[in-house]
Amino acid sequence: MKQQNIHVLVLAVVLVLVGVAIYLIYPPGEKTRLGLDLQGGLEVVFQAKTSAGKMPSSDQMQKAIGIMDRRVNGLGVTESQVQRQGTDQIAVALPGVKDAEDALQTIGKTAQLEFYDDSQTRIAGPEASKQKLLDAAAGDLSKEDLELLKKDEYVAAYRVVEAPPGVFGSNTETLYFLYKHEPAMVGDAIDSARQGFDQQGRPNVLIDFTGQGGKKFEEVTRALAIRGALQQQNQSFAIVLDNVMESDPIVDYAENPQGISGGKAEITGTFTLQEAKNLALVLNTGALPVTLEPIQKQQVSATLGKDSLRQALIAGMVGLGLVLIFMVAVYRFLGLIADLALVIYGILLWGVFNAVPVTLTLPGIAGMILTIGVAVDANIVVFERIKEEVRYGKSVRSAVSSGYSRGFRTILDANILILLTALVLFYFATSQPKGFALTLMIGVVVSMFTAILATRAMLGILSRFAFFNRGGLMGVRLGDGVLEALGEEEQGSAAASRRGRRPAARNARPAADTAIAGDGKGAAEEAAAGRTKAAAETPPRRPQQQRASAARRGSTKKRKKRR
Amino acid sequence: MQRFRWLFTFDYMGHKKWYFAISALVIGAGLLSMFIRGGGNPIDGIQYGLEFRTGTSVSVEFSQPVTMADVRTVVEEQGIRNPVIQESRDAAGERFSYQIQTDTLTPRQEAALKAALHEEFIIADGGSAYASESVGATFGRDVITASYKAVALALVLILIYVTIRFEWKYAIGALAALGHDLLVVIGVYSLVGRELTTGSVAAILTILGYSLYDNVIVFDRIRENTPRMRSVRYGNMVNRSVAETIVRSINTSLITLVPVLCLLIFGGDTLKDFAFALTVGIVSGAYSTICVASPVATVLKEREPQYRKLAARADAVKGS
Repeated sequence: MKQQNIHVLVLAVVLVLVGVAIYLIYPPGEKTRLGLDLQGGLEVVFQAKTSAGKMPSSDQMQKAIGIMDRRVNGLGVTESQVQRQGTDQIAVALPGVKDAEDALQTIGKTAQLEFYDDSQTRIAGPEASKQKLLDAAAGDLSKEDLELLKKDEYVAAYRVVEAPPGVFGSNTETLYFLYKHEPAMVGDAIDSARQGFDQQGRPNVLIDFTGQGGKKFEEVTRALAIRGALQQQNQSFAIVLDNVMESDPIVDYAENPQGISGGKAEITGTFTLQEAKNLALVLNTGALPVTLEPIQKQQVSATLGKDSLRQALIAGMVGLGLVLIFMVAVYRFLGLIADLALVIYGILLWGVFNAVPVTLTLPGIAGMILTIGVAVDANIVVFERIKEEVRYGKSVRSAVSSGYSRGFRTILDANILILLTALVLFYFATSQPKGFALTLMIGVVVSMFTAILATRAMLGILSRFAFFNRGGLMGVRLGDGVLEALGEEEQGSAAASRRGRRPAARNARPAADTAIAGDGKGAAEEAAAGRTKAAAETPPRRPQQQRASAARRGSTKKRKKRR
Repeated sequence: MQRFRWLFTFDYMGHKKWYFAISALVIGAGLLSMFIRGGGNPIDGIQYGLEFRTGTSVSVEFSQPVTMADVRTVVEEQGIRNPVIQESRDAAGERFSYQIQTDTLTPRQEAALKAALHEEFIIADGGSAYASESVGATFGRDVITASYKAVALALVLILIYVTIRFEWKYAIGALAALGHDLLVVIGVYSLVGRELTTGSVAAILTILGYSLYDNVIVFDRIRENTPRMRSVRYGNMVNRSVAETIVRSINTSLITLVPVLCLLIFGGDTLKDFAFALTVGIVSGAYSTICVASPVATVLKEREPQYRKLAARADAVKGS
């Protein structure tokens, strides 16, 4: 494909991406996820420990996080997050939560797996709604307790238990029960549980009890079997984890007239493989003796969050505006292109944030504002290269092309290093710097795209037009003295000598050459010595080669040089 | 352009003793401050943010004027001993905000404190202008360990990458510059008594990235100039490379500084800590590229036989 076509293609891709990004952004403010430092809320970090005070295993952590997830979901907070942090910590973010103390209690307690004897402790249910349940139980409860339960408040003596579809019989909707809080046994009786298969090859759940737990279980099931035999009806017990019914198996009194002994039990039924696995997991997690202790807590009010957001946005806007002005002032037309690329960068970055989605935090915004610098720097490196090439006498068009190819390697190296540090930060850091590292990484990658590819394409297309081939467009003036100062000869040396600057150019080189003598001689002495030395050292070849090409390019050049 | 002419003619490598002296002075002042403030232990010479310590920090804004003594009375009535109470002012000066730092409070204690404050002084916005943070002992220690690990790992990775892409002598130069920047930023934190937060740690790591970015741009030019300027002594070739990239270095540093300064001026308290570290770091990073990384690499390179010979020849010409 021809170079020109590639440029058009790149621009088309950029335009499409900008379109997609705008679609993802619009309407602004609604689709962006804000961290709790910007919208208010609660963040808690829990330290997990086994009951023996040891570090929990990776498996145990996984289970603990599963439990936390369920509890947090139970709070009904949108966009809540439960994340593992380090090896033995769990970070929970609850944006928008008002009653922090209450939320902390709900999510921070150790998992409660309880077994209820249905016929002994169930007061009411199954009912299709909580309202109906409490109405049905009204007669058995004190007025106070009833009021509290209606308000979803904690009542020590009772538990409202919900059974998700498929758990109780073959219910298709969530059912509600009220139990007296007198569980027959609790989760620490279970040693382990796993999914297995019964003799017909159907999935089932196998439970191993601890020594104590096995005895307790035998007692409980014996009572159930005896009562079952008396009433000629199998008795059931409910397995409840954090007030959610997980299973409601029966004890077959004909099969186990003396209860279930031997420290083992088996739950059979119409399980799918997945259901059996889930139940085994629940029984395991309930048995997990992990304690969670809040070690860090951060609570931000919605007002303060809004203030922070406003401040950060103002800082970002002012900073962006100043950078845009700076670039045009220094690089003129090229600066305008860079500014355009920067705006595109901003839109794409925002779009990516909404698409992933990245939760925007205060440090994250700071990271974004910082990447403005990175994005623009890629342009500065290339533009300075282009200016340099123009000074050496290249046409603007070819200067653009070689400026990009030379600048690219530098930028790549530099950006990889930033990515590396950001990656390290992301890996080690706790939640807040993590957001910063993530934005920095995304920003660096997106900026490589806009600042290099997009500007290259724009300039590539523009360079076909005649107006483009003027150095002034990019704030470079031939004969601006930079090469002279570097000790190179200006191309078209006639012009330089007309201005009587050549002696200065001669001097400049030696001045640079006196460096690093390192032998402790005085500077003046070295400068004097340097003047002769200049003759001994061959100047770099490049300007001389360029001089020839400059000569070919005729008189417009010279006129400009005179300014 | 004439005004900036010296930028291109300046003998950058020839003044390295000056740079080293200036750096030593700044770093020395920082270390001294750390020693004095820390009472002999420099680690204690920095004011650490809450994340690094243990305790509870409450920020609260009242809807009416309240004196610090009033706040203290209410806090102490809650049985909280030795609270550190600070008035935090905003730009307009029309708010009555306080920051209260105490030993770690349980959620219950904290809720009681909030209720008491609200009852006594009325918290602004119907009681919602309130924020708190609690850190237990383990967490603070974890944060410190993680920070050290992160910085150490970042340095090792950088060393490897620069060695692969350039050579180990440059990597030493780069590490010297990074060490310089770290010490300068930490020293300045101690000097001005700002709080070092996890945000600052993130900023410091970013500074490492930035400073390195700067180094790579100059190193890259040195790498490019090396084969072109074989007959020039090494230091002069580096001078030339610095001069060729100086405009870019200045422009980039300015452009990165502009948004960061905006953060420092307009950002909230959290962002200010962060922006402060970045401001110091960007200035230090720009300086250390030219005045630490390049001179150190030059000193190492000039010991190579070929460059020694070159230098000897140049000296001979000079002497004649």
